[in-house]
This record gives sequence, C-alpha cells and structure tokens, in this order.
Amino acid sequence: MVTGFTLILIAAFFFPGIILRAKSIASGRMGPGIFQPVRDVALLFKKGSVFSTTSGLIFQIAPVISLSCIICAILVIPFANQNAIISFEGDFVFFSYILALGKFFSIIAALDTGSSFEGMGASREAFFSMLIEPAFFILMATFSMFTGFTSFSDIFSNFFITGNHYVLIYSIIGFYLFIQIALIENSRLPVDDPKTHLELTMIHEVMILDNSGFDKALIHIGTWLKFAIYGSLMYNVIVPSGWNIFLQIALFMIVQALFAITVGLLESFRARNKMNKNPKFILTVSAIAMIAFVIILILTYKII
Amino acid sequence: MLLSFFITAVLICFSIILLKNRIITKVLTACFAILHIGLTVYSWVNLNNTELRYFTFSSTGVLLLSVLSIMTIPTIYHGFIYSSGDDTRKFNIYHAALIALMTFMSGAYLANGMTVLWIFVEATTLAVGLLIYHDRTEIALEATWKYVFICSAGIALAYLGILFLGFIYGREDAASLSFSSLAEIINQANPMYLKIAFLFVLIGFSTKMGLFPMHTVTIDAHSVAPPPISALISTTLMNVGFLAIFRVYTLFSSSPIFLFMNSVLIISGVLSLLVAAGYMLKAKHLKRMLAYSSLENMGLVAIAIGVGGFGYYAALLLLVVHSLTKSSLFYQMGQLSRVLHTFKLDDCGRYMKLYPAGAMVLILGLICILAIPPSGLFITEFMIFKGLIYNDQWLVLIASIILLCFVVYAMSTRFMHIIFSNPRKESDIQAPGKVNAAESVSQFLFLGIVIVLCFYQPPFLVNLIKQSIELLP
Amino acid sequence: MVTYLIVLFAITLVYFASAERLVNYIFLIGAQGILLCGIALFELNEVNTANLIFIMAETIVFKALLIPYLLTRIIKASGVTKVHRQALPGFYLLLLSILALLLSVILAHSLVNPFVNTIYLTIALFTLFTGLLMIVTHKLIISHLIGFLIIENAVFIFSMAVGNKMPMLINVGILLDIFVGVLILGFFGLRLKPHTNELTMLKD
Repeated sequence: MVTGFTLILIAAFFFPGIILRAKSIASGRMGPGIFQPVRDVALLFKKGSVFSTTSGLIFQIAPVISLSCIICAILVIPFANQNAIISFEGDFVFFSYILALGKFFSIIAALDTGSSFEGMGASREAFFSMLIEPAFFILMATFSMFTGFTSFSDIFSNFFITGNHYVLIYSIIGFYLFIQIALIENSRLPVDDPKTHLELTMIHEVMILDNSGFDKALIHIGTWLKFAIYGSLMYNVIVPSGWNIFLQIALFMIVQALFAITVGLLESFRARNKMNKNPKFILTVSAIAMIAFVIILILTYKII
Repeated sequence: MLLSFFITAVLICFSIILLKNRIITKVLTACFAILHIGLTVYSWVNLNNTELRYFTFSSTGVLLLSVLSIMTIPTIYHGFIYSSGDDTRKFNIYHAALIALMTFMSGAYLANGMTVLWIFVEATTLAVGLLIYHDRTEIALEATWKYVFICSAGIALAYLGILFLGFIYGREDAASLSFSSLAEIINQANPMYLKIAFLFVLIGFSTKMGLFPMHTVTIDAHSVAPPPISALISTTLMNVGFLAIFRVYTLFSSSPIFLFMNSVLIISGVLSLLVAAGYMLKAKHLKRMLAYSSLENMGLVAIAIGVGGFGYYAALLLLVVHSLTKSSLFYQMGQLSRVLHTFKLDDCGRYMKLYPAGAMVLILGLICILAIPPSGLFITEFMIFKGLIYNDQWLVLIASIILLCFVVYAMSTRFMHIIFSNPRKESDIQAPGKVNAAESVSQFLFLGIVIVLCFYQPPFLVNLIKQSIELLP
Repeated sequence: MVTYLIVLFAITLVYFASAERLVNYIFLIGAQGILLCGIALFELNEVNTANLIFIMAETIVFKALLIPYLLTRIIKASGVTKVHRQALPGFYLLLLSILALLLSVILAHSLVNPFVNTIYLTIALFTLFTGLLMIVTHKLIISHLIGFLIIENAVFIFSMAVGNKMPMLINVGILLDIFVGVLILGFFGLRLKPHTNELTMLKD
C-alpha cells in the first residue's frame, strides 16, 4: 500500500533534475546536477512570501490547497498488486476531479492577482484542461469496460490477466494517451514552453508569476508530483502487476527515469505549437481516445 | 446483333480519331445513325430477349432506346452544322465522343443488372465531359471540371447503394446483381438496408437525372455545352438516370419500404420544382432557363412515380414527350446563336423578324413545354394531378400547381420578349446572321409528334409503356 | 491482425481532419493505400489467388504509388502548399470528424446483418463521412479531389465487407479508381489550376 506512495514521492524529487540534465546534455553542455532543483526549492523554503496589495485571501491559500489536492490524488494510485491507500468504486473520477479542484484554485488565484497576463494564462489553461478531460475519461471508461471494474486498483491488477488477446492494443493506446495527457496537464512542450520568458506566450508559467518564496516552493513540488503521478499511471498500463515486487520497484525507477529523459529530449528538439493550433492538437488526442474507445467497443462485442 | 453493334461502334470511333478526315467522319457518323436505328428495329422485334448475358431488351429499355434513335439523326445533322467551323481535330473528337456517348447510353438502357448499368453510366460521364469542353473557354473548363467531379462523386455514392444491395444478396455467387435474381430475395431483407440502398442510389443517380439533391451539375452542363449536345444530354441522358432509379424502385416496390420510397420521391420532386421555379424567375441566360425547365420536368416525373397508379403511365409518357420537346428547343438554340450570336436575354430580341421559322418553332415549343393544350405534356400533367387528387395529397398538388405557374410565367415572358420585342440593351456587336428556314424542319417534326401524342397515342406505344409498369402495384 | 490495420486506418482519417499541408494529405492517401492492401490480404482468404493478386496489385500500384506521385507533380507545378479552409477552422473540422465517428457507430449498430462484419461497416461509414466533410468544408479543388479519393476508399472497404462471397463487386469498384486517374490526368491535360478556388463564373 504505502510502497506505491513512497515510490511516487521519491520519483518526484528526481524528475526535474533528470529532465534538466537531459536537456543540457542534448544542448552540448554538462548542465546542473540532478538535485539542483531540489536545492533551489530548499532555498525557496527559507524565504518569505511577498503578497501584492491587490490580491486577497484566495491568492494566499491557493498553493497549499493545490498541493494538498495533488497529494490526495496520489492516495488512489495503486502499485504492483497491492491496493492503493484509498480505493473505492469510481475512484478515477475522484482522482480527476481532485486534480481539477487544485487546478481550479490556482486558476482563481491567478485571477485574484488582478494582472491581465495571469488572467490570460488562466483562461488558456482552463480551456486546454477542458479539451483534454474527455481523453482521460474515455480512456478510463475503456479500461473499465475491458476489465469490468471501476476502481484504479482493481483495473490495474486485472489488466493483463483477463485473457483477452487484444490487451496489447489497449496497452499501447493507454501508454500513448497517458504520455500526451501528462505533457498537456503539466504544461510541457509542445503545448507550453516552461522556459519561455515572454508572458504573451506563456500558459501555465504566467499563472504563477506573482508567487514567491514558500508558495512558489509548494507549486514546484506540486508540479513534480503531477509528473510522477502520470508516470506511475503509465507504468501501470505497460507492466503487468503480477510480477515480483522488487523487480517492479527497480522497473518503476527505470521507467520513470526513461520517461524523464524522453521528456527532456522532446523538449530539446521540438518547437512549441502556434497558439491557435493548440486546441486542435489537444482535441486530436481526445479524438484518438474516442477512436480507441469505439474500436474496443466493437472488439468486445458490446455493439455487434 | 448487340455484340456487332458494340464492336462496330468502337471501330467507328477509332477510325474517326485515326483517319483525321472530315468527309470520312461525316460518312461514318451517318452510318452510325443508321446502325443505331437498325438496333432499335431489331430490339422491337426481339422484345424481352436476353443477349450477351448482361443485356435484355426490356420494354422500358426499348422505349427509351427508340426515343434515342429518333433523336440521332437531328442531333448529328445539327452537329454537322454547329461544328462546321472547327478545325479537323476538334471536329473528329466531337463526333467520336458523340458516338461513344450514344453507344454507352444504349448499353445503359439495355443492361439487365445493376453493375453493368453502373459501368455504362460511369462511361457516359467521361464522354459528356469531353463534349462539354468542346468550346475550350474558361467557362467550359469550369463546367467540365464540375460536371466530371460531381458526377464521379455521385457515381461513387450510387455504387455504395449497389453494394448495399449486394449485402442483402449475401452468400450467393453472382457477378452482376441481375434484377430478376434480386427480386426473389427482396422480401426477406432488412428494411433498413433497403431504405439506405434506395437513398444512396437516388442521390447518386440524381446527378445524372437532374433531380433535387445533386441537380446543380446538370444545370451548368446544359447551359455550357454545344446546343446539339445539350439537346442530347438534357433528354436522353436524364432518361438513363431515370431508368436506373426506376429499376431500383420497381425492384423494391413489393417490399415494406414502398411508402417510404414514394414519400422520398415526392419530396425530391417538389423540391426540384421549387428550385426550378425560383431560379427560372431570375434566369438571364436562355440555355440556363431551358436547363431549369428540364429540372422542373424531372421533378414532375419524380412526383408522378411517387404518386403511383396513373402516375406510372404519366411518368413514362412524360419522358418521351419531354425528350422530343426539349430537344427541338435546344436545336433551335443552336440556330438562335447563329442568328443573334448570343444567349444572354438582355441582348436578344426581334427574333420573329430575323428568323421567322425559328420563332415559330420557339412559340410552338413554348406551348408544348409549358403543357398548354394541345401539347402532349398537358395529358401527362393532367394524369399526375388526377393521381394526386385520388391519393388525397392536396398539399403536394397545390404546391406543384403554384410552382408550375411561376415556371409558366418565367418562360413565357422571356420567350415572348425575345421573339417580339427589341433587345433591352442595344449592343450591336455583330450583325445578325442568316439561317436557312429548312434547317428547322426536324424541330417542326418533333413538335408535331408531340401535339399528335396529345390526342392519339398509338397502341404500340401504349402497350410498351403498360408492359414497363406491369410489375408495379 | 486486420483489427490493427483498421485502427491505423481510422487514425489516418482523424489525422486528415487536423493536417495542414497538402504534402501531409498525399502521404496519408498513400498510407491508406498500403493499409487497404494489407486489409485485403488478410481478409479475402476465400477469393481465388489470381483475383486476390490483382486486387492487391491495384491497391499498391494505384492508390499507394501512382496517385500520390501524380498529386505531388500537380502540387509542385502549381506551387500550392497549404490547405486553406473555407469557413471552418481546423478545430471545428476535428469536432465534426469525431461526431461523424459517433454517428457511424450508431448507424452501423442499427444495420446489423449476419452477412457483414460490423467493424467494416463502421469504418466505411466513417470514411464516407470524412470524405464528404472534406469536400464540403474545403475551398481548393485539389482538396475536393482528395476528398473524392477518400470516398473511393470507403467504397473499397464496403465492397471488401462482402468481397469474400462476391469478388466481382470489388473488381467493379476498382473501376472507380481508374476513373479518378482520368480525373487527375485532366489536371495535366486541361491545365486546370489546382488552387482555383473561384469556380464561381457559372452562376445566376
């Protein structure tokens, strides 16, 4: 139970370092150490926060709420064959909406600052999250239909043993879709560039422009945790849950490291989409989820 | 006989293209006309025989084939006059394509299976495309592209309908989905499949027949093509489209979707009438106006089939009479262009003074096409209205009558204007040409036949039509 | 195996709705040709070998090689690269595409037939709707041509659904392909400009 939770926490602290290192090596320099982002966050914890006079209460409590929502979301994700810490029927809906609650608070905190840049970033963020939400739900609906259960723990423990020989299609499609959802939800390329310094082109970064000190540290940790969450979901889809536990732990670390390296390489070699092509890009991901759903409906003879 | 007809037609086409000589072309084309008339006589003698496994001399096919035969000689004659100013290459291509078109149409009339019919209809599209492009102007290019493209899309949709028929056919081994073998299994088929097959076939072949869903191509094609070709394609080619839809309709008439088909046909017909009436009121181009008139008549044919009873007889008779009338009007357009040098209504006028014989043809043709007695079309429209009243379809009746009134108004004002008044815009670009009155003899002949048909329908015609509709309820 | 190919085919259709450049369209048409050849190979195992080889050869040569080559030459000759849409930005076109997928699933579900495999019906209807959407929402006539090619692929898939028992239907459907070849050659012969979007000379 607790293994999964701790593993995700551990992976989260390695994530940003590996991504940064991969991007640096791809650009031809050595780059900072793997733990540099952790040290930066530790530095931020020692600083105080500065609050603007135009912002109110929401701005001060939003980062804490956001981080706590993310930690609650981790509680429902299983690992290996064990149940998650909290597991009930339909818990993937809970998962999606608790993350949405955190995002909602960061959006209204951005609006609370009274800055028009942050409002613009908030509206874009809300729009893109709306477009990617169907993909996640359709994917989980597909998995539920395939395995017959509605809880993360049950779905993933029964994923590879249903005896249906189309499990490879589901695995590949789930893997691809989780990667895309991860990239879009965490505002990485090609949807949003975390390194851009032009506010007009920012989506997520601009929402957190006004945060400082302790709050900024919390937001960074929240971002890393979200990465690790989606990485763990992705891991669950491609590795059968029945294998040996130590093998699984090692494999988990390797998969997360590989995921981080891939994200770093993708960021180095890809340009950001044009802003008005972004909705189409995100909707394409949802469309592919829809196709997978339909094909699987037909394959399992739910509609003859 | 059929095999020798096809082979001879192919040989004639190739020799016209290869031999590059005008005199030989004219002689060969005249030979083809005689060959075609010979084929029609042969088919009358051998009614309901099957030849070459895929062709049957069915009554509907023979009826429409005879109409085509009657029109071969005037078309070729007017074609000679129209293309006498062209260089040899264009002349040969025109005539070769014309012969190909008539051959494909004959093949389509006589086919006894859906796939063979479809292949021939596809082939006619190619031939017509070549013919529309005869003038080589930009407008002709645009019309050709639109025609070939949308007809291909329509043909693809019609093939989808045929495939649906094949789905019902299921696990039998047959190559050509002949109508007789399909008729045996229609009753056990899923009605949804039949409906979809019928809809696809209707939409697909409406590009050829000129009915509502995809009528726009025919309008453009008829207004841009050379007048003798317009005469051919706005009559006999529309008959091909009608034949395809009619065969599927007859096939499905004993199945549960009979009422559905009737309602679809009536809706399509009324909408065709609506479009025709609306656009004819603002037509400024003579041939375009005549094309809309074809659309209106095809709408009436669809309503006739949808009504049933009297309507079946009326539909087939309407096809025959409309072919004769419309073709004579279009032939007259050829001569009008040589006299007035334009088709635009604003520039036409004083036709009675410049070419009295032609003006008489126009007046007679106007009376015939608007179904004013003593025209043959009057009898058919009367029967359609009678059928509508018998079926208590008052709304359709009132709508058709009002729309037909608009059509009558539009056509008669325009024709009367160009015959009797001065042109609206006096732009004397060219002096009016002189045309021999003897060239209009064929048109008077056709219109005479139409008027005779109003009073007396010869028994062979009546029997043939009755045979065509005997399978319908 | 056929299922994987059909899934890839459906993905190419969604890609059509979101692609921006004409080169992408041509690549997708070629990919669809190859996928159709694969589907024909695995599905039509009751047809005699000569006929099967003819169908496969036609799919590869015509759909996957010849038509993309001709289209590439047209594009190079005229210099059109981007696809300009008429009234719909790409976002709405993609939405309509998804709606078309749902509609085709519902339609196929109500047309259940013991002779026809439903997945073929679904995919064929989806292809048909995508082709129609392409024709209706695009301005350039080369996009119309590509939409027509997609409709042709739909007809091919439809005919393969019963192809095992009636191979003649597939052969006749292939005639449509040859028809399209003639259309495209018309581009060269008539010197039609593929970026012509002003086909508005003929109007009332």
